[in-house]
Amino acid sequence: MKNLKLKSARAAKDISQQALAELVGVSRQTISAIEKGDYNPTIRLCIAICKVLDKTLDELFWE
Amino acid sequence: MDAYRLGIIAGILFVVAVAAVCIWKQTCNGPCRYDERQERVRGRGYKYGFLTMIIYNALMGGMYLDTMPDWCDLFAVNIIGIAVSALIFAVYCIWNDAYMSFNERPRMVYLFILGIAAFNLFPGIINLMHGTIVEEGKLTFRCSNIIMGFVFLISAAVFWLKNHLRAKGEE
Repeated sequence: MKNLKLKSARAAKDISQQALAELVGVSRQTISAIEKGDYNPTIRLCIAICKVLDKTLDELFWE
Repeated sequence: MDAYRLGIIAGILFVVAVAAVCIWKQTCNGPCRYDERQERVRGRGYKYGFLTMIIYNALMGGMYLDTMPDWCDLFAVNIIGIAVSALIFAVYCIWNDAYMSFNERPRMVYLFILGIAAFNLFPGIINLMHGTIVEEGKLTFRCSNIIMGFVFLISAAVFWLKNHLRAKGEE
């Protein structure tokens, strides 16, 4: 299932996939895979993404 | 000094040169870093490559339990198994964006793979022209260059195809 909440939070902050990937220390393809719903990130990566996007885990990763 | 010894020395020099380039690259860029998704994909790639090797060895061991293969020598049998396993690992990782670490430049890796393919294909084609790859109807150990050359050439082709499809998808 696509993670549209992550995509819209990233777009709201005007951060590209590449920039977000660099900020959280992963590859751009991994961010793309999370947004497409092809990869379930670990809690550690979820927290890192939430911190960069100023969102809570619930806001980005809870259905 | 005969051609065989010269070939061995050239091979050793090439390995030393590649090792020096790798050490220099690691000193400049830091060690290769893979993220959690890439590590998972690479682990799965290793598993598929390893399983391929086991199945291949079991098949070959079963087929040639008490006789030598009549179509190739022992070295060629082994190199084919290694090549197929390595190819499965490489193709799986490339296709799932986990072959390169995220601090590597794709262009450099692509050129490096092509360079190794060329370095293997060149002596392989010379062997092919001299007719030493197949002797008395049997594939000899001299096929190793051409086989590894094709492994790297196929890897480079998959690499190019993946990048091409990604670029097309992003348009």
